[in-house]
Amino acid sequence: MGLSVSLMGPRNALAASNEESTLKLTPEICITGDENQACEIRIELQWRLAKNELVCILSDNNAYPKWCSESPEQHEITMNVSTLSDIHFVLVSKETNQTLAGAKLKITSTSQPQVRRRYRNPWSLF
Amino acid sequence: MYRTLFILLAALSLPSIGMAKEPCVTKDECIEMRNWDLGVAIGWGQKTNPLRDFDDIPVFFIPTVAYYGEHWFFDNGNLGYSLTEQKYFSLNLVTSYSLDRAYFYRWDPSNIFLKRSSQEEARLLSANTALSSEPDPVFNSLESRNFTMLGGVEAFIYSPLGVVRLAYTHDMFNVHQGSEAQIKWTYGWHLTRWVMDMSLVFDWKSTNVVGYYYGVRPSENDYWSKHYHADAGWNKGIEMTARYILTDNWDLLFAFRYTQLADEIAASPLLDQDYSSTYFIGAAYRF
Repeated sequence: MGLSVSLMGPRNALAASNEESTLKLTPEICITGDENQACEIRIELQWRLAKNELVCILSDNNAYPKWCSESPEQHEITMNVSTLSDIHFVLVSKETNQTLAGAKLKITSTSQPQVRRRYRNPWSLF
Repeated sequence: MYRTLFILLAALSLPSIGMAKEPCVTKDECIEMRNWDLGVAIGWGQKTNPLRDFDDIPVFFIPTVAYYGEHWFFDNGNLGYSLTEQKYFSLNLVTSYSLDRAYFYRWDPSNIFLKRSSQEEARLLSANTALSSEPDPVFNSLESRNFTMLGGVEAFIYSPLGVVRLAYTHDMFNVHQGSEAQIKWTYGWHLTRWVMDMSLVFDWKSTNVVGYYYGVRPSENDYWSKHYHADAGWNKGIEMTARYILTDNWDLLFAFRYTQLADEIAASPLLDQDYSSTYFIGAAYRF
């Protein structure tokens, strides 16, 4: 999955037949000093599955193409990310391509638009 | 006004978002600086016109236009400069314009997005006073009531019980050389997708303002020009606005305003109602 993916060792199966599949992203927010500055961060994706199966992870960022697990025992990956915008990750079944879960890396900057109190009701003009 | 008191008591029993722990707390009371905030509400409403035989004013559109800089701001026709913004109060220099002229003129800024309501449409005849000993308030063509901007100072006080606005403004262009003042209390709620606020408003208008807009000129009616004497007075009103959030951009908008005109204004023979009310129901889009 991209240039900086490193696979973590297998963990115990986290599946439970009556659970929904989940995808956990750590961290979920990357804070940059400026909105034109790319977020460069190492993230971890962990998933729990309703049934043990092979999965793939997709994103809406072309820099991070589809990645698929090669063992049903694998439940996490780590990767280095460099991005200016949010990235939405989706966990899908490798076999059926069914969407199982999603997670979003939110990029925010300390120079977000400033706000101040508005002194009039927006609909006062009537 | 018992209804007003009831609404006030009901309001105080609901959870509040009105308290200001910081200069700007919730999305609804904040605006992004250095960015135009534009929106339009489309729907149906009506504004009653207290002027004798002038038509009520249908409301089809309500625009919202605002721009806030570091200190300067423009908000729905009001230009302002913030002298200080603190946790519990703000102090601004502001301009405003009187709503009184809007009853007379279609193209008053308050009416730009409303359907025509003008002297030309008025019938200016009334038979309602047939039993009165005074002559019928029948007027020749009304003289001009010119537009003017008011300038002055406003203060906002933030507390857990809502926001109080105190304002004093004076005619900047020597049109009527009058002054206006306002005491306004606003309380807001946020319940899931509903955002509501209610205000009680007390507007004071000086003798010059009342006389200029509601006084009778000799050319209009000689008798009433001598027998109606304008005086300063307080209008009292209630304003309610409710929004139901549909999406990030779309809201349903419900708005209601009621103004009980000061006795000194209601006494003018130009009027046949002592109040003005406005309602609007529509869909609002924020760009």
